Amino acid sequence: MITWPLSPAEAWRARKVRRSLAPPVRARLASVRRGFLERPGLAQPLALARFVVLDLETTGPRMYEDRIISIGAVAVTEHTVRHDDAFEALLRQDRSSAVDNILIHQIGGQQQLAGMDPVEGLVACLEFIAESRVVAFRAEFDATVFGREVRSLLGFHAWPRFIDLATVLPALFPATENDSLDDWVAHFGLPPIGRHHAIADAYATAQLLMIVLEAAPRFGIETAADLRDAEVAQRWLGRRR
Amino acid sequence: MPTPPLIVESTINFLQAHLPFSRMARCDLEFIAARARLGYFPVGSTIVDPAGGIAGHLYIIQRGHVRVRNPNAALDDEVRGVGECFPVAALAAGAAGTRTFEATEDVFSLLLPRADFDALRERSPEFAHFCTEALATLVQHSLGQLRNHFSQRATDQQTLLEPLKALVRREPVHCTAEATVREALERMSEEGVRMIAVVDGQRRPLGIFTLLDLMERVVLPGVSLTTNVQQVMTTGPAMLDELSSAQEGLALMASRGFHQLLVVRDGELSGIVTERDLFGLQRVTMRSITQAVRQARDVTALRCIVADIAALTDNLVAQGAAAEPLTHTITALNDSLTQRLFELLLPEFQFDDVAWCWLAVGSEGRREQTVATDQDNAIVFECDERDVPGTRERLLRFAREANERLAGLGFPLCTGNIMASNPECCLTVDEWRGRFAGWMREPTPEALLAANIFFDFRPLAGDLTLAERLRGWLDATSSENKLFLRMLVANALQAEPPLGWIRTFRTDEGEFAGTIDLKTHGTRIFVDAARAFALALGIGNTNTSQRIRAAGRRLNRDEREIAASVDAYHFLQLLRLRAQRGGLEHPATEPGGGAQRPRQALNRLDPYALNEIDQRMLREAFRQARVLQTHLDQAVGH
Repeated sequence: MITWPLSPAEAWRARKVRRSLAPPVRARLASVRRGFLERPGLAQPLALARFVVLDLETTGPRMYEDRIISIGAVAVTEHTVRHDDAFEALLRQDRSSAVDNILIHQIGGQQQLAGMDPVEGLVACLEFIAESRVVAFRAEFDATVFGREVRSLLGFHAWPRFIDLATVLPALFPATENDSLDDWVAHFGLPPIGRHHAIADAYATAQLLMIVLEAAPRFGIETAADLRDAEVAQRWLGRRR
Repeated sequence: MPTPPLIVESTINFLQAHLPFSRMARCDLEFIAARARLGYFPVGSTIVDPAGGIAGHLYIIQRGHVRVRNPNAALDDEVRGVGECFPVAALAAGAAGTRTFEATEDVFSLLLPRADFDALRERSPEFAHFCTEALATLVQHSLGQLRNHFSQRATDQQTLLEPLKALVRREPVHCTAEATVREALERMSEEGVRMIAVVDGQRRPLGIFTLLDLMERVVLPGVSLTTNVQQVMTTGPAMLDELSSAQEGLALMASRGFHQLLVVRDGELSGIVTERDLFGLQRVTMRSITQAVRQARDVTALRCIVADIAALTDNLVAQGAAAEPLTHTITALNDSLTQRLFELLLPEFQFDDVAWCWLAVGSEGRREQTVATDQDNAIVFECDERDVPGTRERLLRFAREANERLAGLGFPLCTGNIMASNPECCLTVDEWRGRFAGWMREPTPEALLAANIFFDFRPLAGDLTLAERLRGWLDATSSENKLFLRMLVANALQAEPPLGWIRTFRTDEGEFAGTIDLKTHGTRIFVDAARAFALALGIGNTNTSQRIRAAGRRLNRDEREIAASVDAYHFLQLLRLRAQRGGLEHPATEPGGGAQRPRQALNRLDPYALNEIDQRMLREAFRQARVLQTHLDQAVGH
């Protein structure tokens, strides 16, 4: 779990946001927060963990400005992607995003305006994540956008650390030139179910996660801590290269 | 939260491209898509292992291939590809399967939890039908299960980790390089082996010489037998140190395509191990037994062989022999045993002046001996009319001796005294005809009983033409006796298959409460019906399955129906064999262990102790018995 260090001004703003929320929402957030605090530590064996693979579609590529349009998430337990344990939400926008952006994720302006209340969507997503380990591809982007939105809309400044598969994969399968999610999907010949759609990308990422989890023991990666160490080490290697 | 539509859609799109899903209603596919999980299995991993009990999921392969492995029969391996599912039949039967499923490449598969699998069978008739069909094919695999059971026993005694040393059972047959081909062959013939090792002065192996080499390098090219064996042997034989494991031996033989292996100690030949030695199952082969029978010099030697026959029976079951060849093999071995016994006995009784023939009757006559069969035999002879009483006396003396000796070999004396030593069973051709004709003229219950036993006669030793003449006469006469045939059919229809109401069996009460007599209520129905067919249609054969086939063809019965009858009969025979050999609930610790159980219990089986699949097959077999009876009634009864 990452707790963002807040300046006094930010803390004041967050409290103000929280106070503006409806009491039931605040109660749900409080219980999510308790769950976060009690979640299994890093010593948890990977085989027992519940992972939530998350993918966001945003109004653009700027992680500090663009907003979330849709969230797709699937759970991975017992090394299987759970169809019966998945989450999808289309968040209502004040105005639809630019045309070139619409072309990427194919969520039209009308659809965007008719989505779910963003507060409700984010709370539901946090509840779906609950005590799981969150995984994403290019997690830095998703984690930043997600964290920023959660903070500005919910005044919630604690959220789980994201495991970045884009970093972990080259550590386990080094002799490859793969870079994008598409590269890896093609590399493993995964059956695609659609692209640039939050749930489709989450589903594809979840399949990559299964491959990682199967391969992990061969690299001595047994616990969540091992996985984090491998990710950190690879990130340093990647920088040097 | 419902499954995201995109996941549902893409899953349905995938399913719709494959049977049986393409036939199923959309709502049922949605059900699968929403309940399933996606699993990943890297190449080489085991997906379903019968050791793990009942599989927890139905697997639908989305990508990659899966090898289906039957651990005891490498031939049964098959491959499942995209869109196929497994283990359908085992899940439908609610039992742990027998087969292992392994990923031969990286496999992505949908997993449907077992509860949802069951729910799907309830809600989708198409899927239920698909499962039933899979279950039907699994019935074939049930026989494989029986195989596993026996091979387990066979392999228990011998693992592949044993050193080769432990497998060497005799001094290796060898000759020196200087020996001629003739000398080598003489050695081989003396020892009764098919190959010989060629060694140098220090017993170091130089090569081997096999019967195949004899054919290819000596006989066909016309090379003289006085040639030095060194010139025609196979050089560079496969050799391993005696401390190497059997596993290594197998690997070496497999990689170089050899059937035998020389075992050495410090470079010196210490033994020969053949493929057969390594496949522990084949340690006692039919060949080795017939050979031993032929070479037995006295009755004591024959007695040892009886135990080998029992062991072979186990092994044959283990190797997956079907009931028909199996009972044939047992009969053939027992035949050769009996014949050899006669060869040993006959010199004491001078029969050169008499034409006589030893007949096997009853199950032995039908070539359907199982393990616990007692002796049923008779003699037919022919001589000058005045000499009949004297000749009979001489033959009876021989028969008494033979019956006693056979009993000593483990074939129990017949409690009904249907044995050649009984004066009533030692008759001339004319007397037999008279008796047969009498039974057919007045088919009383006793006469029918006798006919059931004696009409299945088969010559075993002596002058076979006597039996053939008797058979020719019987075939011509029996079909004319309508009253007799009617009674015979009525008799065959008397026994009822022990099928109860819906999906149950009618088991007996009293001493053997809760069991079924597989002979009285099972195989005998087939045997009696087949005999009635044979006698009505003049089919000379005595074997039940051959009779059913011949009669079916004669009466233009559907080929599949014929096959179903024969299969059902064989299944019941196999179950009997299993019961007799201490199969299911009484695993015999040693060959012949089954024979210690009370004789009446030998054909007893508790149907509910069988697994679901065997129960289904047993019900089907009994149903087939009923079908055959109906068919007999219609075709011959009127």
